[in-house]
Amino acid sequence: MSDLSTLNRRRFIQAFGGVLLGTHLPVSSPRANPASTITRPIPSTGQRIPVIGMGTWISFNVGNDPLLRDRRGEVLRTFFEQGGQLIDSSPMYGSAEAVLGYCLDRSGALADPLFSATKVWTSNTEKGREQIADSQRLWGIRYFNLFQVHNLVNWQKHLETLFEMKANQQLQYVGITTSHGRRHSDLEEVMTTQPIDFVQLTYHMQNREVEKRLLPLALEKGIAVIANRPFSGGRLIDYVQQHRLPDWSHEIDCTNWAQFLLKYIVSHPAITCAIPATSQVEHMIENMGAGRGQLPDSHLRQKMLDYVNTL
Amino acid sequence: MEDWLSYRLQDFLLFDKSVYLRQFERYNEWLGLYRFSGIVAGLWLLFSIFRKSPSRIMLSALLICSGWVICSYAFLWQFFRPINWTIDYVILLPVLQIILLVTAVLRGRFDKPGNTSTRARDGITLIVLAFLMTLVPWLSGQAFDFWPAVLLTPESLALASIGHILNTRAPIWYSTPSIAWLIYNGLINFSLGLTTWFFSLFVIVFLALIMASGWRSSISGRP
Repeated sequence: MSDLSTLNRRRFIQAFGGVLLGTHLPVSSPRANPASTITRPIPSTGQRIPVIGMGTWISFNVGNDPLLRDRRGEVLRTFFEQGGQLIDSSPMYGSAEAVLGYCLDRSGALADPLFSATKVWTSNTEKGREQIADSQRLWGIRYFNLFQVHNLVNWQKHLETLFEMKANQQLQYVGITTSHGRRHSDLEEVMTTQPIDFVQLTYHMQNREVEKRLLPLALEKGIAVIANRPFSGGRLIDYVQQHRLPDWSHEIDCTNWAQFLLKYIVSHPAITCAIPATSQVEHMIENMGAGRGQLPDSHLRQKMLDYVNTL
Repeated sequence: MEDWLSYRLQDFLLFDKSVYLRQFERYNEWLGLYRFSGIVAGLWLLFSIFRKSPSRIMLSALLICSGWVICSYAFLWQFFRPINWTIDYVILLPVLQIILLVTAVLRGRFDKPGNTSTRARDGITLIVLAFLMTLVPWLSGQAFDFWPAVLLTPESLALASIGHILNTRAPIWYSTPSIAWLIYNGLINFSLGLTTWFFSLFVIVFLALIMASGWRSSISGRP
């Protein structure tokens, strides 16, 4: 489906200037073998996407600073080299969408597997349409794989718009988001009554509220789930990193805490993808490692949880 | 309501500490040697206040306005706004402060120094703080490139504006936009974990005490 996004800035550069640009950009990490990347199907179509995606909240909001934009470009290249596809953003994240567009431009053919996901975030329905057009311009693409209603703002009206766009093949999937464990009852209502493809919510080892109702509901309804804030905004990983990784973590191919925390999330059967955000190449490599190797079974998941709870 | 109570200040932040500090570095690069003109302007401000010359005090107010114009256009609009959409709204604070300072000049509020020595002393203290606050990043180990420029960055200008108003016959409420800026900036620094928020808190408490003592004096009828 990503073929529909032809003739955007990224593909233009890819076709006419890709060689010139590509040969001058530094290689930040060895490419991962795509076959080793763990993927999950999107229930509504069966299309498979890697279980580790990328968020852009805070990390890609660097404004018009050329130095920091180029550094984020290296992070993005690493993401694709490591087999990443889904990138999530929002007009709420300041300049993140513009920076992303800049970095995608410079990633050339490397960004081909992009699974683009962004949001509409305004209480005004008409402004929502303008915002959607703005996002397309900022990313430099004409077609989004996934459009979501951010934090359920004016969700009734925005969903109408998004479903209409989907019917006109202007986007592939429709979703809705919340974060920080808020408005779960409203989210449940949307999941029950609306034919959405995706739901995005906060899920990590210290916030498992969604395991009770929302994740089982997603499985039942065939809705893909994106887990945001997997490190609890950095607080969780900052805390656990003060402690030693358990010896048995090699059983699930974890070599660092980022992988440990992410593998717990993506091993839940309802989770399609987790979207950690980072501004550093080395952290991106660590994160993407969680999308390879063994995932824990239910017994190991409980062991992981017990271990973290003792810290 | 319960959902709203669960928000923390950090949840509203859109940028991290390094990106925020980088804006100061870029602004300082943009200012180049003009960065030092703020120090010269600040010294002029102090000199004028001690001389208690009405024309110099009026000129100082216009100097502060010029600082606000440069800071608002370059630092706030060109550098800070791309990472912080709240600038679209809070940019009104410097604009209002400029309007109030110019109004005070036009209405002759600056033609005489302040009535009470206590108020003038407080004003001078704040102008001195407008200098010292630029050294706070140095105390936390930041390189010179990241230090906020004297009288060319919002916090320094807010302090100088309040200090200048205190030192004259202009009503204290003329400094409301600067006080609001200090609160806004203090919240950003606190959310980012920058120790400079202590400085904002100190200044706000200091101003609260000044206002409380002014109110007590007006009740008792003593200057």
